[in-house]
Amino acid sequence: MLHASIRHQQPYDELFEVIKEAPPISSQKRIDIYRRAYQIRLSECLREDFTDTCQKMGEVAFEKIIQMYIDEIPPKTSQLAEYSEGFVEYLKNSSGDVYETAAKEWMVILSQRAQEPLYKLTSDQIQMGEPYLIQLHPATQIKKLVHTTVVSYRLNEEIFFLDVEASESHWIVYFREPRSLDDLKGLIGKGEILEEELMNLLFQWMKKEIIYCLPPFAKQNDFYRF
Amino acid sequence: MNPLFKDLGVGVGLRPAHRSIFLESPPKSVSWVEVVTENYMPWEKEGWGKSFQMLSRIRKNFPVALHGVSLNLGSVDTLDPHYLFRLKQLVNQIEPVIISDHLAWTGINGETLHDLLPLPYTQEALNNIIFKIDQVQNYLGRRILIENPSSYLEFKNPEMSEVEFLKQVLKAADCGLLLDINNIYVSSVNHGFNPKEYLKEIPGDRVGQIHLAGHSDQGDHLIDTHDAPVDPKVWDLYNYSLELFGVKSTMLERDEKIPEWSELEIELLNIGVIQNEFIKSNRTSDLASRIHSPSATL
Ligand SMILES: [Fe+2]
Repeated sequence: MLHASIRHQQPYDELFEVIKEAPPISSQKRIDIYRRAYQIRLSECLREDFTDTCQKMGEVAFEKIIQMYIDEIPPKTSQLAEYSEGFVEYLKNSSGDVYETAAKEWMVILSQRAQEPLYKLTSDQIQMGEPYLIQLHPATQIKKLVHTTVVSYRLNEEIFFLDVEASESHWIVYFREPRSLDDLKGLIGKGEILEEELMNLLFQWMKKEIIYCLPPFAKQNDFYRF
Repeated sequence: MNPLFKDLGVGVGLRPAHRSIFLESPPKSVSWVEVVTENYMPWEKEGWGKSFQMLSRIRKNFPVALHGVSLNLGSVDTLDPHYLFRLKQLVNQIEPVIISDHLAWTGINGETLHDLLPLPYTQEALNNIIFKIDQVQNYLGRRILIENPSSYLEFKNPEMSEVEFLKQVLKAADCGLLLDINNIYVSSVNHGFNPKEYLKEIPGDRVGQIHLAGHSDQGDHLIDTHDAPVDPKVWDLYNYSLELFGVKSTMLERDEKIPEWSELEIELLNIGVIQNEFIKSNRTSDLASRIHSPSATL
């Protein structure tokens, strides 16, 4: 009952029957403390994550849509930060521009949040002949938006975007799994991609840290142990 | 007899604003840190984040307490197995010195309000939360601490007081207490009870940690905002807790209007000063009582 009242922002008569009336604060006011806290918590979380979207939509329209989202879609994840993810999907029915702005803002959050790989080979190590695999950097995000496919990547702690063609996005997705040189030779051998084209892509991506080289024993989720 | 919990000294609620200080030049003013568990747990889809990597590095220099807000122990919902799994992953990596959550519920039917909601203090609610704490402790293979929350409403016809409820939880679930002094003060104003009487009821051996924080005064009620320095009345209560329980691991929570580290450090140093004064005066009174006792030897 209390849950429903807080969530739907409505007092329920039955609730007054179970809440202790303790002047000078009325029961209504006591419920309102929780109701207001709920609203503020969720709307602050969305406002913090989607400042560009708010700017694009204008304050009034943004406030209206976050209220609708909060009313229709209650949080179900134990981490409040994840509530924002659903908001992007919720905006899919809004104009394409608004959806793209929100989707990109969420990509920035994910790219910023991603951990740095623990084992990363330098180009010197690779030139010395260390065996290696190639994989997408954990901070790299790829998302198909209304008209384009966009990649976000992290370079020197800054987040950048890259619009990619369908063929390029196909190969970026390919590197979600770690790939060996033999895998790449196999692709070229089967004529799936020209050697020069692949080398060119890898060179560009490596420079931007969209991909990185890891030793074969490493796993992407390896982390520093204190 | 060995105490259930050892004194870790003075700690702080580590927030992102101060993380770089802990990474670059670990401060000497605190000997341990507490973090909000959910901010470091792996995400369902995305896995571990950079914040977890930073915490692992901080852990090298400081014991870490994991303080959760989403265990939802008081709810009639069953415990969320995904949450528990991720909590255990974090526990295995960080090896925290303390794991805690709240004497509260946060949602039902899989929905969460991301708030700490008050429980009805009934036998039924008591049995429910004891069962849940027991499940968590069995799953993690260790004792957890439960924090007394601040609250803004009470249910009619309680079968016991909050402190009685809390005592029974501690005993039956064999868990520890994270005693939040500010929460007791906030609730005492909001519900009109004597906070010292509340403290007197607490079994001292169960207190594993103490929280101090600031609140905001809304005229006819207080809100536990953690956005201000600790109120003088809360410091008084802290002093009283020292008389009752002795020195316990104590930390400062600050979640809003977070000041510069140097400013926060002044409050942290104050905790140490109060503790030392208590220890000194206790020694003096101990000495005095020994001088006046017929069997005293110096
Ligand atoms: Fe607290």
